Amino acid sequence: MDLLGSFEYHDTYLRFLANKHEVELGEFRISETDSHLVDGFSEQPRATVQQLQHNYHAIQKAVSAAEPGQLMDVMHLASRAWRRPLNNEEQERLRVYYEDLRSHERLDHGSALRTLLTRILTAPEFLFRAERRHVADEIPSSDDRGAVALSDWELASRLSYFLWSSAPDEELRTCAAAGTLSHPEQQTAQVRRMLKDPKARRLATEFFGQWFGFYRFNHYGGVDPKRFPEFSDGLKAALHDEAVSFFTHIIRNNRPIHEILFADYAFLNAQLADHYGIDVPELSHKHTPVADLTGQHRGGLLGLGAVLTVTSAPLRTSAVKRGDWVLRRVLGTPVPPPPADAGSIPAEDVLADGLTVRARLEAHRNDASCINCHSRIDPLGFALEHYDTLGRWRETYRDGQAIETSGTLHDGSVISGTHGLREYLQKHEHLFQRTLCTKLVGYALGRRESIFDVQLIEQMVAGISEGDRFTAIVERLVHSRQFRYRRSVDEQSTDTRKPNE
Amino acid sequence: MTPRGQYSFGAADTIDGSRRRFLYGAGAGLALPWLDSLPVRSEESGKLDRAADLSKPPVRFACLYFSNGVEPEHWWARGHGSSMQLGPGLKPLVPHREDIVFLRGLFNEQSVKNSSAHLGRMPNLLSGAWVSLDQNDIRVGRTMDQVLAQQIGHRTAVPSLALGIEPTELRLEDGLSMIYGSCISWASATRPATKEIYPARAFDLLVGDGKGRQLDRSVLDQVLADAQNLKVQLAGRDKQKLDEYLESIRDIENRIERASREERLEGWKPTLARPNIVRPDNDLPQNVPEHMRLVLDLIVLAFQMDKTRIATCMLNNDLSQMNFGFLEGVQGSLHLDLTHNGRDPTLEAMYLQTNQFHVEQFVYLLKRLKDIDEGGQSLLDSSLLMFCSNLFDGDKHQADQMPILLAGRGGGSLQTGRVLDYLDRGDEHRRACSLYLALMDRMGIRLARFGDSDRRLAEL
Repeated sequence: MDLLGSFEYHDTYLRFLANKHEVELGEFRISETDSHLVDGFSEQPRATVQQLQHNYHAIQKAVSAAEPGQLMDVMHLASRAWRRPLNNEEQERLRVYYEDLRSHERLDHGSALRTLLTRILTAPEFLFRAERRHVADEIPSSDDRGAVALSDWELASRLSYFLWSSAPDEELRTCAAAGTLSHPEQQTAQVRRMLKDPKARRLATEFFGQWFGFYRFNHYGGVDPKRFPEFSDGLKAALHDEAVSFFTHIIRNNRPIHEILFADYAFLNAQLADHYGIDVPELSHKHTPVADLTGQHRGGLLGLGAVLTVTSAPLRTSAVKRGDWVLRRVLGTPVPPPPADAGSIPAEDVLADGLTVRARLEAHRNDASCINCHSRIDPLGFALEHYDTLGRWRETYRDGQAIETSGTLHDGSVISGTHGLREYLQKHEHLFQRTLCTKLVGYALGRRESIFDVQLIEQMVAGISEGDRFTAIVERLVHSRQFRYRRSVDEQSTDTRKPNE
Repeated sequence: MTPRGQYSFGAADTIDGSRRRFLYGAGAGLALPWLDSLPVRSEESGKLDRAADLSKPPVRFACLYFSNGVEPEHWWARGHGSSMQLGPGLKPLVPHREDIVFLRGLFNEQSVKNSSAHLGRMPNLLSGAWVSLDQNDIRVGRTMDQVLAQQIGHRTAVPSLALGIEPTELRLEDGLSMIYGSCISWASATRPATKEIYPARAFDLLVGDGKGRQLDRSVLDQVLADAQNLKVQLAGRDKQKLDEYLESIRDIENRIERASREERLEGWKPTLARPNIVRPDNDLPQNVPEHMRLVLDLIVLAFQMDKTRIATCMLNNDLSQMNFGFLEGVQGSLHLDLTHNGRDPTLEAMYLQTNQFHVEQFVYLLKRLKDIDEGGQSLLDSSLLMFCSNLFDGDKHQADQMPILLAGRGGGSLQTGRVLDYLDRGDEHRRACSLYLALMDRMGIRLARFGDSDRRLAEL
């Protein structure tokens, strides 16, 4: 509320004048309309007091005159929060509720509005993204497979939560209201617009963050603070920002998918360049793209400090964690979990008996029950051993022992160092592309992919090999039946047809 | 750090038993106005019984959970009473060995069968249910504390408390939701009981002033109507989701309902009418020991004021990253560094310290309850405390037995100072669910079967 409209301001002013002119006010307040109020004042200040009183009442009047407009604003907010226009009945219900709060609960305007807002924001319409059976009193077309086309408003929500993690903006709402969002050209136009928008950074934060594990990295607690005091809140934030900025660039500038793995650039600021030990002049606190970093061991997904840190143990690097991460997250070919009693290797990297972690792991791999999976996991992780727990490049371990980065995979091929890993990933790039498409489908639809999605995923992967960049993949997805329709039958019945995992 | 937790224990101690007995003796307890208006419930058999109940403190149940199990060599007990011997992990319990029952060899069959070494063996600790490994279906089973909450929770302002130290996490761990690893109390098979880690919020829940309840109520009425309207327009899974929403709205409604007739709740008149601790700060306490102490104090407060009779508390989540650097000589985080320690002697010693630290928390709760007099007997005497982890050997994810011990006399229903060994008996005779059946009996809820068991634990 306007400060100048407040009772306190005017009443204090009045009291100040009364004090100055030695007028006894008694119980009089500025809010009183009684003209006796001014009687005690002499001619000269009287005009000021009258003006003061007049101002106060004028502002009070304006404030209460603004009430209906503010109520309208809250109604508009409800329509934004519920992501669709309110029908007459709903508007009426909200209005009646507000009036009830004023008359029955005897709330003032401000408290009543606050309660109304609470009500709007606790409603299931806000908390859930419901896709209805019927929209606007008309039964949607239902085809042979029991799928129902989404309404324009529902499409707007799907799009904006997919790409922006938020409610539709004004332009999407306008399209939805005009009924054009169900046209493929309009969908394409919106996808292109939305992916260029700064809000697309949320797709980097949410989708890529969850996929690769740097989600909320700025709050990451899995590093031992005594061993690594340099792992400060500032460094966490900088590492997080590096990863998010990289994927934001891929998304907003419509980069080729290839660059996710093989880019030679990274987004660094002064603190990160210092952390990585790279000499880049003129960096500020702001993350800036720095090109041609392959020689500095940075660039692309595998050079991201946040990723290398979350795949480490608190006190040392973990070839098993990193290898498993590459298999699971990058290539989408996870190995089954270890038997519960597999045991573990020590938390420390440097041990009293002089055996390296690697030596212990090798011993472990001699066990027949371990070898099957670990011969697939470990070499992929060992290739990254030159990156330390915080993602910095190192030439030796803490105790001076040499780092050995080569390993033999189950198929006999040898991977050596980051270069070898790059080659390996290049050879298996189709697996990465498939993982990307699968994850994207799951993320967009909010469910695990099913056997019915295989065809779509195949098409998206084929698109990449035909030169599709990020935006085009998203377009294919948005144009798919999966995205534009929803099942009208209970999902339960389709679940039974789901293949066993 | 501000000196929170400066408590005036005196207030509780001075409400002496004799004055209370006088009041009841004079019939003041029977004159409470609520007796007529309360609906008669099936498990209550008339006024006489209730009057008898009033003279006796109710039985309270609290479960303290710690994650990642123990080092087997450190976790054992032999003998009985004051001559009981305890392994090094249990050292802080030595002065209280006559108050405990050490249980050896209990297990949940569904945990052993589950291939997920952590999350498949943890959220079912108190239910014995199967943990679903289907990503699309988070499902375990209602836990025994929540069964109790549903059956007898209406007797107190708050049906049950689910407390914790680490936040509920929603990320995936090996393809499973960390909601599994964050919750030991499940209100239904698919919905965990809301875990509170903010001491201030738990405090408000217990002693809220009732302001704003009227408004909350009117908001709930409105959104409930919204939900009913919406429900007709939904199909399948969406409908189920909305049901969960409706359920939680009804929970809040019930809470408001109960709180507004607080003075007329049935049962025992507590020894403490107003909180004897100050409201905690809004923020999370920054250090772990302080946080734990505050949460345990809230359990004591809740029991003492009879705001609830059922509480669970997770000292850590499964796969906890809790860093134990606050203990002298300990370095690293619980799960990755200390539990999976590769049998390194230095790390083993640190792991032992974390176990002992967890036991100390249990001892703290035990001692505080023991120091509170409720008309001639201590609050501990009328409590059943359980201290447990879901794994025995934490490093090996061993689930075929679990470290569990009890304390308190359950209102005279539990004989303490004993070691009960079930390990070498047949599986049928060593089910954790048999323990839960026996504990629920003592809380006044007799079930024919629970989880994987239909018999009570022998000799308890």
